Amino acid sequence: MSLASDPALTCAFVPDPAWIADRPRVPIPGAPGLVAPRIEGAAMFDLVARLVGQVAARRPSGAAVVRALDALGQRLADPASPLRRRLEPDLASATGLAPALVAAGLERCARQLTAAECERTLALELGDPAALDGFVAVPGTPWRRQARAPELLAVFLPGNVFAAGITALARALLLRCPVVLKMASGDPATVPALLHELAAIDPTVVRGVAAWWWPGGDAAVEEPLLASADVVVGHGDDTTLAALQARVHPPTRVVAYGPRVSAVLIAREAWSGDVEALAAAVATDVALYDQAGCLSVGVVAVEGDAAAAEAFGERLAGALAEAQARWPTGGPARELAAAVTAARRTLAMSEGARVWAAPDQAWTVVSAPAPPAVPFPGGRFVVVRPFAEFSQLWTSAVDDWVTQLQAVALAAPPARAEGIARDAARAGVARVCGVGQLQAPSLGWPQDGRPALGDLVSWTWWEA
Amino acid sequence: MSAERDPEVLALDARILALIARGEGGPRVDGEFEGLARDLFGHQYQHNVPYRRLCDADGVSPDTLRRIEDIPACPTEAFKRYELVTFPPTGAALAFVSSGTTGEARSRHVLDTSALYDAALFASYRHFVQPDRDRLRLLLLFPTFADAPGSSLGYMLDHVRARLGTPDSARGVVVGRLDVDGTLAELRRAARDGAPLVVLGTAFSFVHLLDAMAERDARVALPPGSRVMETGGYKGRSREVPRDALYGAIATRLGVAPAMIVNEYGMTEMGSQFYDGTLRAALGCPGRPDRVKRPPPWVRSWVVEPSDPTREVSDGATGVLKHLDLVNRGSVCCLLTGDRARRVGDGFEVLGRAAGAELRGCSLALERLGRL
Repeated sequence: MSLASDPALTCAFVPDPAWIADRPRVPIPGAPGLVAPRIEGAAMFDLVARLVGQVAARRPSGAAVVRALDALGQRLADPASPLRRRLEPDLASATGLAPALVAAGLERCARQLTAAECERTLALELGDPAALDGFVAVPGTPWRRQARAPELLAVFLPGNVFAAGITALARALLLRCPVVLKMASGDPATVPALLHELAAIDPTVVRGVAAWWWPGGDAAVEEPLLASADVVVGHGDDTTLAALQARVHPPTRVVAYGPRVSAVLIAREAWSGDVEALAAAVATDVALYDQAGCLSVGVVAVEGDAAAAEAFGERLAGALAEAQARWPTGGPARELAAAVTAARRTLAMSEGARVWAAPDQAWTVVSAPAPPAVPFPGGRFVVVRPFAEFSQLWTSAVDDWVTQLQAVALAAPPARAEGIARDAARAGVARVCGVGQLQAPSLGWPQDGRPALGDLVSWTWWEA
Repeated sequence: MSAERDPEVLALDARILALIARGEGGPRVDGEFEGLARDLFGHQYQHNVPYRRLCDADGVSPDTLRRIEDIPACPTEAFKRYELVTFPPTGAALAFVSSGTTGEARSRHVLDTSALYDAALFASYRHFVQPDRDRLRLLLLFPTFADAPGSSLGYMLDHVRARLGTPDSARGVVVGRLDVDGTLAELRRAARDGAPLVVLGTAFSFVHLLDAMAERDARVALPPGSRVMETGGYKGRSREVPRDALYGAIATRLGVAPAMIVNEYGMTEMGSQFYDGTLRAALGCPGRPDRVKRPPPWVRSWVVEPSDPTREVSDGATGVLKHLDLVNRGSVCCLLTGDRARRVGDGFEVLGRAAGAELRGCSLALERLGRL
């Protein structure tokens, strides 16, 4: 039974439902049948006080949070679990993604929610996870240090990639601080559903946590929240993030995750391997989440000449057609279709361009020796470009997409990988991985090059 | 071969100019537009290299073309990326460049002659804005072409002032900024003199003027016969005001009734413009008294499916605008715009930009980075 059919549940989670029992319910645009509580003004201040008070009275234990996330991950990994059977149809309905694609995405999310991932993230970010509970040694010194989680963390979740919301939730829970998560209308139910599941696993780990949807920019809701939070996490485009930043005042800090694209780099040596499998792996990284999200592939850089790029483009087109059969999309939304058409036709005018496209624009591949920069339309749209040497990629002055790279997937022999990775790091790429692995990042990966938890905590050094 | 010596170009221009000369309301000759469109397509297929690549990708050539609706449509975006001309660089006579923010690519529309552009602009402007008078006093809320180099609107308004404005026409812009005091002075002068005034500008310039007048609680009763032409969007330079509210404010502050306010729709990449028919109707001239944009006889317009520019949407449905403009003889005639519109009978209503779906989270902003 999906959440939408359960009248007792709304798209909200608070530790005690009685806190919001008398709040008005408002429909969520674009999500028929789903409602959210209206919590604004004094009611928001009151809720924040309750969340903070809960954590002050008894903070969740780190070990309990890790155990609970691990248990949640196991349920997410099991296609037959009640949680998966509830989440999948709701996610498919909310996002428009194919059910098989939702399942593939949830399985990747589950891999982030293991005890090993959680403990590794805490260790990488804090050195000693116990730093959140007291002073610990500063390595290499006689001093000690303590990490302080936010007094109130406000997280504005993205709506177009449910995996990003799950990652943000897990990271927030690891800090064991009061958290308010704003759901996006594109996916209003997933995170509250996971919080309900966690509450059933161990109610102590969701103390001080609340999640629900409200209209973005609603001042009556957001002003009291932004005034109360000391750290705000935002996801969105430049306009959204600028608007958020303008409403946050010191000492509150904003951690902003902005628009990015990812790429695949195919070294010339890769041609001696299984190119069809390579193309299939690239197609996976393109098609997952329908190319929404910063880890989706928009560009494939092929080391070689125009013929090499064209040859790979043709294989990629075939792989995307197969991915379409496996994870069907009904073509881009009408609003996106015009952008896809314009980008495709503009690139087709480039010298030496070859275009492959599904009849319904469900996917598009363009290979061109020197395509002009065009706005990236999304909708499984990929440009394949040749580079005589990868060094040209990083130094290309006209390619501002290079400066916006989030991650690159590399098909190159081990002997060359380090050099390419070093160049990628110098260019500001946050993550280098194998082809087909872009959409399966570790929980602690440095999104936008920033530390996963380090930007959210403050430190005190005791130099006694 | 330059345009001056190319007999094919001269012959094409002569035919297009003859069509324009019969005016917006002139008689239409069966097959004339289609014949010209086919000949222009053949000319551009042969001489516009990037456009030819698009045609070849579509599998359409002059030999295989069946209907003019199948002439490959070039995205207006392409004017930012390629030099789309049918003549050598030495033949350039005039260039229009779109506005944009620093660092953004801009459309560049290069013409080898201004003759076609000028003929179309006067024919349409006269028909829809000044059908009753050869000359009227004008007040322009926009810089000159010299001060806004490359602006097609600046060029248009300069030429309208020169040919269709009285000598005492004025400009309400100084150093590219709205001169509120000077504009108010001109408005009051017109009110005192009793001679009708045409106020022309962008929507955002009117918003700035009206906001300033509201702050001063200033109102002017412009004389009967006065009219307003507004164009363009807000482009982030002012708050966005719904059209009804804007026209209501113009009526309140300037005394010009909404029926005497005309919206003009044009773009850097296209030589022709479109206007509302309300002012003609208010003056008792033949024509339909609505704000549906109808193409002039030298243009065909279709509202097409976003995913297939050869498929027109049904009446009342929305889609993306495609134009086949004979005035674009020197560049590309068939344009696929980024404008959403609703098909209304033989015309259309512009709804806004087809900017793509809302992108949330950490994915790419459509109009900004992630350029491939």
